[in-house]
Amino acid sequence: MLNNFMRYFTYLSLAIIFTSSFLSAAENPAEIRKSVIRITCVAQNPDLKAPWNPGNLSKGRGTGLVIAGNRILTNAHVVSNSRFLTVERDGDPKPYTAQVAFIAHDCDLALIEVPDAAFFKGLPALTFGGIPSIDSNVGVYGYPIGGDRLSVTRGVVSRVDFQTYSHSGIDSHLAIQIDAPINPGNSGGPVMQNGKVIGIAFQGYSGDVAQNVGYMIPVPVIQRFLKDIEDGSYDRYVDLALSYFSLINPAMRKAYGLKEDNLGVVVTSVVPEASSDGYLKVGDVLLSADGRLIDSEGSIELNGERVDMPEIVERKFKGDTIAMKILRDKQEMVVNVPLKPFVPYLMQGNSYEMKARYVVFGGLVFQPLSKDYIETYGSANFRIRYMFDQYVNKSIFLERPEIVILSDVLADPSTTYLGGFRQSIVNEINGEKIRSLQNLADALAKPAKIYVIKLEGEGRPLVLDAAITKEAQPRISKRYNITADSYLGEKN
Amino acid sequence: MTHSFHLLSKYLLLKFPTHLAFTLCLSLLLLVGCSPSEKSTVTNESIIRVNATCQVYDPIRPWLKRPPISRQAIGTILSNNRILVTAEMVTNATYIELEKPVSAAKSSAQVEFIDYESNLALLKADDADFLNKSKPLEIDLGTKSGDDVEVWQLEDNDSLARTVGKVNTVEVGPYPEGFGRFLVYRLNLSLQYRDNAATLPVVRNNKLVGLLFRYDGRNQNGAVIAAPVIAHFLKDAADGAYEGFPRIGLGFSSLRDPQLRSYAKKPEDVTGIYVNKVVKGGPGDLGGLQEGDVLARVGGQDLDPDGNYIDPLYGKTSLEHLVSGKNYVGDTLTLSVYRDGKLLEKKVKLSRKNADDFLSPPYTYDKAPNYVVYGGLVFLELSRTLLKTFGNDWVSTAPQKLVYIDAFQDELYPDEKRRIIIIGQVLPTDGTLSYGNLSGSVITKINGVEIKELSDINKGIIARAGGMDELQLDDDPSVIYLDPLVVSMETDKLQKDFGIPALERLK
Repeated sequence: MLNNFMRYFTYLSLAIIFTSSFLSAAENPAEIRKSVIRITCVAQNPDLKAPWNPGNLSKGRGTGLVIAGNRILTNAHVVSNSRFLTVERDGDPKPYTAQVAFIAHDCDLALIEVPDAAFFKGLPALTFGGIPSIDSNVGVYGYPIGGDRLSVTRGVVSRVDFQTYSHSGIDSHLAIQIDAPINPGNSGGPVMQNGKVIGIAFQGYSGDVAQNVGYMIPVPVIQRFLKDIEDGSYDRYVDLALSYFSLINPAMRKAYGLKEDNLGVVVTSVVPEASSDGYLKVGDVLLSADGRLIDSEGSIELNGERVDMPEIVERKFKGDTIAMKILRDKQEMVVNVPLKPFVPYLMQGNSYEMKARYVVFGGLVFQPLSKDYIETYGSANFRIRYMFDQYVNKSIFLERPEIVILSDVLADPSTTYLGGFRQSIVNEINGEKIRSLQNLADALAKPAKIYVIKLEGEGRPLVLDAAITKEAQPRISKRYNITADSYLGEKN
Repeated sequence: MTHSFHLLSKYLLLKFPTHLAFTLCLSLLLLVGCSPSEKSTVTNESIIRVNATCQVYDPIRPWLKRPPISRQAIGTILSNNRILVTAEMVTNATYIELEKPVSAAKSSAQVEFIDYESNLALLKADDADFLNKSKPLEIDLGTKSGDDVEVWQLEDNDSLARTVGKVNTVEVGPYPEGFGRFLVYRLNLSLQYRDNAATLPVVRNNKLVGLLFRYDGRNQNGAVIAAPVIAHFLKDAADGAYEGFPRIGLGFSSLRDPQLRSYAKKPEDVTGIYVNKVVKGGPGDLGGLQEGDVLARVGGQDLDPDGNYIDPLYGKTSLEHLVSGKNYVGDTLTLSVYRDGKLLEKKVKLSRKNADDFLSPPYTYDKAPNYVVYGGLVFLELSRTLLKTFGNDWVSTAPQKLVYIDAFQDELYPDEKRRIIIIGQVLPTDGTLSYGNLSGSVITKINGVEIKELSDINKGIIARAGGMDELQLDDDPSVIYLDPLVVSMETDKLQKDFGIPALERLK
């Protein structure tokens, strides 16, 4: 669920810090600093306005930490879309080439490997602690803006809560808020307490919105990631894929036959073809998850803290089940829900490690709808915005695994009258429903005299004469410097 | 006075499509070089000051009215003791007063006929003898591009001020309501406003040729409701039953694209437009028009690929004037269409859909909005007027689901005669605890009874089979409950705290 304050989260890749001096007895900065790594990444980001171009380069800096197994842990957003990655250790001027081994965009974590094993010589692996208590002291180590050498800042744990991880923008997990100043460049760096890593600094509010509000990825999220990749691939978070509503209103509680005990939330929607479909129903009251009671706001107790109920699901992996005790039609029962990741919502989040997918046919450019598409082309078109917003809520993903948009009409004599069709959703080509970019490519590859393209909301079809288009294609490609007519690549 | 016109300007600007460069400067007195105006005391007996007090109901709390505002206009006196002003002037008027120039004699007046789409209103003085000594103006239909016209105002001393302008073009254009396009005279005009009057008569050879409804001081452009539109309005009103400007009920696009032309099998020697939408149940639909038809001829006039015909007076003019401006509800028009290359003659009986007959009415004026209050929930009917309360950028800021329903109501509910009922506001009470975020939700059922009209809410409440009231919403959560005991206990306090005199208004 998108958080209202999303846009205030900034990546920690620029700015200034002051160090304070409040050392914990069990922590030895001189030792810790050896294992705090400076990462420089040159990334190549696709240009959706000219999807045939390789993309724009950008350079960024972040921090990583050495963990067991000669690996470096950091944030996904430090190394996503990377083309060239180097790492440096404290006191050594030489940059070492590195590669991304595993990357998790849904929890903003990544693991880097360095082919040259000499890099890790004399670097102790840092170890993990647990969930720190509120008001306990922490130290943030990293390479933020303000200088080139290692920096340390100090503060306390302010809050343990669920937050949206802005790297994808559509995932929320446990996040711990601290007031130690963390700034651009700190991303991926360890937050230490008593010599152990208790989190990875990753995002925060910009100073003009809120002060000293920074977040770190806590150990449970990190450990889940490390466990997930043990089998050689990252399988992603599993999701119950349902929404629920607090049962605070007394009339609602009475209607569901609940006592006045401030327990229970009611299921209000179940996403079709996802984990809970066929197991839980709209109207079920969720009473406990794996034995932990759910209060009427949807929180459970975990490790002495009250956290959102989904935190239990957060600790699970593909194939695990969760035992939900529910009240259905006033009868108590236990339902074991097998968990799997939910894929369709990915369209609504930022995407990475993917070249822009497109098809150019004559002067028409087709691209799939995604968050990046909306950010590139804007969301002025109401139909497109509506389909994007309601993609999961209205189960649009069931009929349209991909929403294909005619994003641009390149000017050419053959497209003189077609400009008005820009930013339209493609429904059909020659009578065939278009449910994905591949569908579209296949439909246009079938030989025909004309292609009748039906677009959402347009009564008149876009008609292309095959011969005219075929003649125009090479001319258009040359004029617009289009190197390949399509890229259908790999979908996420 | 200036202040109230700022309100009027902004309100009007909301409805005005952006394709014209008009900015509203009614409240500014512009000291641009104004044309010489003759002062004559003779013909000011054909015009009259109109002062209207207007008060609109609060769309979200429809038991309340917003503070009143005043508007002023110069009304034109027509035969039969009638006064012509723009509809904008008297929309939601609670009190209208006429004031004669020079003598300052006053009479109250009523709106007799009003058409929001063509922006015209006809007033009648309550004092039957009030206009006995006036000199009503006749309408002249012959104005065309290049003609000089006069815009009339009253000076402070009530003498007539005449400003000359030239008709630049005559074309079909959008009117302030944004619902329907009608003939407009576009003037080159250098006007100095007196007295903040909104409507100004446009006259030629002492005959009325239009009403000035927009003026852009910076570009010195004026937009005038053209005489044929006024004549249509008056003729329609003459029999006492006003029916409005009719339509065929179709959407079209130009047919210049050779690839589309050959797909539509349009014969080479024929020009016309591509019918890309036929409104279900509309005159075109009933007359046999279909999507994909090439419409070549309407009422004996050939159409060019952009949908224009050649008017004897105006030259190339959009077919909207041909259909709506020259015909009346109930008239039959012959349409020549080419379908699969074959010529078909279709007879279409013109009609007009009232704003009220829409699922989500495009405008609702001069009526108290209906509502039902139950248990702290205020139920309202969806309308575009309601959506516009979210401001100028309501398309992005109003609840998107509602914007979607309003925009695509034809496609979503093609056959149904009904309303969309929403929770307009959740008043904070014990009974509505945790329901605060539900304003804007569409209510679909109460206690199993489908909600298609506001009155269905009461039906649903009566249908309760013991226990709680179950309300189904098109939202997340999809079901909420109200405790009838709590509802009845809280009603008095609710009415008192929020100033609600009656729990419903159903008309």
